[in-house]
Amino acid sequence: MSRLDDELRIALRREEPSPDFVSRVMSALPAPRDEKQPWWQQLVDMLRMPRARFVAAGAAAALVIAIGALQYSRLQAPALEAEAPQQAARTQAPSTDSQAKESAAQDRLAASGAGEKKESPRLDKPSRVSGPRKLRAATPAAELASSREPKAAAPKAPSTKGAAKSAGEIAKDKLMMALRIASETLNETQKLIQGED
Amino acid sequence: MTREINDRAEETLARSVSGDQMAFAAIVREHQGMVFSLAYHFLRDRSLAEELAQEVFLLLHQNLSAIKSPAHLTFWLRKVTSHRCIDQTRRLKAKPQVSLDDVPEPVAVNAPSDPMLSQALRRVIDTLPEKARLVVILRYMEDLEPTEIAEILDMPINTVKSHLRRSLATLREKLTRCIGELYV
Repeated sequence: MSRLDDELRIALRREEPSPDFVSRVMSALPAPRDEKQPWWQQLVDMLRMPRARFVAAGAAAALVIAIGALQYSRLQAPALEAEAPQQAARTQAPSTDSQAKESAAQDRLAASGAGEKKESPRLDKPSRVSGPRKLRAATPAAELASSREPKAAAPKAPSTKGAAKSAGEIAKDKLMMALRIASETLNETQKLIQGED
Repeated sequence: MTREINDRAEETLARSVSGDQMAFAAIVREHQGMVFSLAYHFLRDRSLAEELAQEVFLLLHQNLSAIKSPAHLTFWLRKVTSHRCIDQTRRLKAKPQVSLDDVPEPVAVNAPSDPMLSQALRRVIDTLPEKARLVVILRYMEDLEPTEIAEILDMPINTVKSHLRRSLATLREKLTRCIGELYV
């Protein structure tokens, strides 16, 4: 190995930085994250911030309102389902009434028309002709009126009343039955205890 | 003994990766000489060299999870320090590159291992081109083989050898002119 190599090794030997170098490096490092802190603790720390409290309160209120609205809509749904046939009945009943009125009006018209026709034929034709005509004219309207009556009564059949029994009432019956069973069981248990004593 | 040292180094590295600040401080203490010296011999400015060394260790802290072993750690530090030195020189444009023929001859000295000789050598090395300077520093400060230098500097091995050959030839020529044949 040449002397130049030796001299180069001496000239380029390692040198140490200033004594506080390590401390300066460590102080320049970013602060370590506290990973040991559990998630709930971090949440508590976050909620300690004043603004976060309001945000949390608002979020909780919104959640409660949303749940309440959902429950309300669920409770209202069976009632609405029960009311639907009743509403249908109500909408049909006025129409049948109007149809009955129409049929009555037609009867009157028919009667008046037959009467008028009666007059003319009186001049030209014998009255026998108007009789059957009158009868014929009156019969379809009468038939219509009579046929419509049962139809008008149809919406008022007892099946709508049965459908009106809401799911809430069914649930109530079930609850009552469950309470009854529970009370009977309790009574039996009490008797057993008293018997042992 | 070597195995024990290696095991201790592995353990320290593992603890620093997991976030142990004391372990990282131990790593800094162990490698500060190498990183600082590499920067100092290249930049020839202590404060700049300390600043650069600090940047290297901060970068190490961010990339600890990528370090696989103590040997990899040493390689990583050398590589990052070398590249940062080149970047620093280009940024500052501190010393213009001088042709080896224009380098003034050192003052004549009589005794070997003279501090003046070391100083003269450093002055000559200081004026070498960036890559050639790093090659010489890594070769004689860290005692690395050309293959290792080629890996650190991302350079073909023949280029490393060429830089080394030419730089030594120039240094020898300058010193011979100054000191005489006894020295070289």
